[in-house]
Amino acid sequence: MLSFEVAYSLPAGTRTLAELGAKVVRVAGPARDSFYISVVDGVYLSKTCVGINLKDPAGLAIAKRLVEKADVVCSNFVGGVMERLGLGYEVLSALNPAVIVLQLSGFGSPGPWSGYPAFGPSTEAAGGMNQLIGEDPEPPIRIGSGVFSDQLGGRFSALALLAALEERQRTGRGRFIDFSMTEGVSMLLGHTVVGAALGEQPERRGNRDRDFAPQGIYRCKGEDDWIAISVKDDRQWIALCILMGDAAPGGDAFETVEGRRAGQVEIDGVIEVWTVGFAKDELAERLQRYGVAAAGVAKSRDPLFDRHLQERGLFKTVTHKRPILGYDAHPHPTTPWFAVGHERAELADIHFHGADNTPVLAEWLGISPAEVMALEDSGALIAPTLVEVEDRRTGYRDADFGEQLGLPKSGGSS
Amino acid sequence: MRVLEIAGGPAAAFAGLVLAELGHEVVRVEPPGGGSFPGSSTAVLNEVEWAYFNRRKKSVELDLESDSGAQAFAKMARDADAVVEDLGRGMLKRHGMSWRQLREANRSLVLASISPFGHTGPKRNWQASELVIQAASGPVHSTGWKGERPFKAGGYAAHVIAGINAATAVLAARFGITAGTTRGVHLDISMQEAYLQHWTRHIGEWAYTGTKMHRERKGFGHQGFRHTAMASDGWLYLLALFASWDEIALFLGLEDFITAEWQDPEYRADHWPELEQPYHDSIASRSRYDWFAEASETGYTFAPVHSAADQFANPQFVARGFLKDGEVAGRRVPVPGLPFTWPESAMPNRAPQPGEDNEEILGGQQ
Repeated sequence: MLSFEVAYSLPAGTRTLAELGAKVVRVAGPARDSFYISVVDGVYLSKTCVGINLKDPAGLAIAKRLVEKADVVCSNFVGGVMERLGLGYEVLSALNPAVIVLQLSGFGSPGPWSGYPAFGPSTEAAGGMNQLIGEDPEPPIRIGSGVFSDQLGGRFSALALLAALEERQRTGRGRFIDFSMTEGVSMLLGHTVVGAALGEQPERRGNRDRDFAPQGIYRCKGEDDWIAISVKDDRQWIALCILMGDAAPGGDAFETVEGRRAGQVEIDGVIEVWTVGFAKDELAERLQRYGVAAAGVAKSRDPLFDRHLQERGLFKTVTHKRPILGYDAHPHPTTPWFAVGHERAELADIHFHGADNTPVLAEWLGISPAEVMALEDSGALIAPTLVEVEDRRTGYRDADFGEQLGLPKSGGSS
Repeated sequence: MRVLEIAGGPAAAFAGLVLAELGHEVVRVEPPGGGSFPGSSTAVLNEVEWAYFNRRKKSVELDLESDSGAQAFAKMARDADAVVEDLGRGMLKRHGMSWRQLREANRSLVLASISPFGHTGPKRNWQASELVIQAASGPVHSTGWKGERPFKAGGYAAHVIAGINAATAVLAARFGITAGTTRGVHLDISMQEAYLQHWTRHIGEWAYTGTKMHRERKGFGHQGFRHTAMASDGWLYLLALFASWDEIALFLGLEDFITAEWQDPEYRADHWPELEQPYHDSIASRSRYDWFAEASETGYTFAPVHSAADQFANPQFVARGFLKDGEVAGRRVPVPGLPFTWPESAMPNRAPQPGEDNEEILGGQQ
C-alpha cells in the first residue's frame, strides 16, 4: 500500500491495515508535519516512510513507478490536490489497471464543498453530531476528542479498502473510492436522518436514554470524577435500591420504568447524593456485582491502568529507535479485536520522513543506494530527517506520569 | 459472501448493514415473531431505527430451541462465510451455536462476536449500555464544559463503531481465508476497545507527557472565542486552528478588538463580556453557508452545524448522491448510505419482514 497521508484520519485506517499484515509505505512530502500529535496519537506506527518531493519531476516519476507496484494507493488531501500533482485516478489506473485508489477528505469529491479544508471537528458539526450532544436550550456541543471523526474516517477507510481488496480477489478488478468524513458521521447517525424525514425531531437528552431510566452521569469522590449508571430494567432498579439502602429513592411510583422516567430529576438528585461518597471505579465494581450497568467515566490516563484491558492485551509497548521526549518506549492501543487463540500483532516504531528511501526503493523498484543518494541530493527525494519531537503542551499535567507507567527513561534507568 | 446476522442490538445489526450495503448477502436470523434475540440488551431500537439498521438484508425466522430450527441453522452455517453476533458472552452456546459447534459445521467459517467489554478479562460479564460503554472508553470525560457534568456523544455511536470494526474484521479474515493464509476464526470484538480508539490522542498525550485532557471553559472554549454561534439561519461552528487572533478578528469584522491585549487568550477569557455582544452580532449578520464558504476560501475550517433535518438540503450530500431513496415504516424517505463511493446494492433499500426469505433460504425445512 502506498499512502500519501497526513495525520490523522486516513493514517488511522492504514495503520489498522498495517496491523493486519499489509506493507504500508507512507509517502511524506517536504511540508512540516505536526509531529508531536502524530507521534503521541500513534497513527504512523507500523509503517515505513519514503520522502518524495512530488513537485520535482524526478520525484513524481519515482512516485508513479511505485504506483505501478502497489495494490492500493490512498491519499487524504483536500479534493483536487492529487489531480493537480498529476496523480489523479485516471493517471493511476493507466499506470496500474488493477490498482485500488481511495481518496479521503472532509466533505468528499466531487461537490461544491470538495475543495473546502476541514478538520475532524468541523466534519462532526456538519455531519450532525454536535446537534445531538447536550441538552436544550444549550447551544450544540462538540465531542471533546479532536480526533473522533478522524478515527471514524480511519475505520471506514480500512473497511472500504478491505472490501475492495476482497472484491479484487474475486474479480481481478481495481476500484476508485472517494470517502467523505462528513458522510461518515451522518451514516453513524443515519437513524436520526430517517427519523427527521418522517417528521421526528431528534431529542437532545443529555445523558438520558429513551428506554432506560434512570440513566445518567453522577459525581463521585475525587477531582472531576464521575460514574455512568444505566438502570435497564426493574430488576436492576431493585438491585440499585438494595445497594443504596436507606439512601435509595422512596416511593412506589418508581417501581415502573414509566414512573422512574417521570421522576428522573428527583431520582438523579438522590443518586448523586449517594455516589459522591464513593470512588468511581470502586462504586462501578459494586454496582456491577449487583448486576447494574455502570462504569467510571474514564480520564485519559485510566485505560493505561485498567486491569481488564491489560489482561486482554490491548496495549502494546512500542520501543523507539531513538528516545522520544526522554523515554525509550511507550504504550499504544492496538486494533480493538483479535482472533481467539492468537496474540494481537505487535506495533513497530514510527519511521520519520524518508527513513526507508533506500530499502523501499530497492525492494519495490530495484533502485541502488547510490541512485537513492543522488535523488536525495537533487531534491527529488527527501533525505531521512532526524525529527526531534517537541513537547508543545502546557499546564494540566501529571508530572510523575513516567514513574506511574514505569516508562524506561533514555539512558537506561526506568 | 453470505453472512448470517444474529443480532441482540444495534452493533451486530450495523455490521450486517455495512456488509449488505457493500453488496454481500446478509441474512438476519430472527426468533419466532421477529425482532432481536434476547442477549446483552445494551440498547433498544424503535421501529424507525430498526428499519434503518436492517436495510438491504434478508430475514429468516427460526426457533433455535426446536430441533428443526437448530438443524436448519446448522445447515445455514455450513453454507455461510461468516456469522456476526452481539448476544454477549456465552449466549450463542445457550442457543446451541457455540464456536465449537459452528466450526465443526464449517471449518472456514468466520465468527465475529461483538460484546461490551469482550469475551475475556475481569469485566467480560459486565452489564452495559451505550452510555456506559462510551463512559468506560473515553471521549465523554472531555465533552461538555469545565466544572459541569460531562456529556455522551449522540446516537448509538459506540454500538455503530463496534459494528464497523466487526465488518472490517470479517472482511480481513475472509480475505486471508480466500488467500489461503488463515483458516476459520472466532473474532472477539470489544465495544469498549473500539470506542477507545476515538480518543487515542489523549491517552497518548498522557503517556508521553502526562498532559490531562480537560473540558473547555464555558463560553469561549480552547480558542479563546466561542466555537459555536448563531448565524442568521442556524448554528455555525468556528474553528481556525492556526490563525492568530488578529486574523480571526479581522475576518469576523471585529477590528476594534485588534489590540495587543486582546491577542492573549487569557485576556479574552477574562474580558469576554465586552467581546460577546459584538462577536454574536457579527456572526448573526450573515448566513452560516456564507460564513462557511468565505472561511473555507481563507483556509479556516468553519462548518454549518447541521441538524438531522438540515441534511436533506445539504448541497454536498445532494451533489454526491449520499442520500438514497429508501423505505421506512411504509414511506419513501431519503436514507444515508455508505460514506464512500461504491456501487449501490441490488437489494431493496428497506428492512425485510421477519421470515420473508424462509422459503428461498430454507426451502422445505422448518
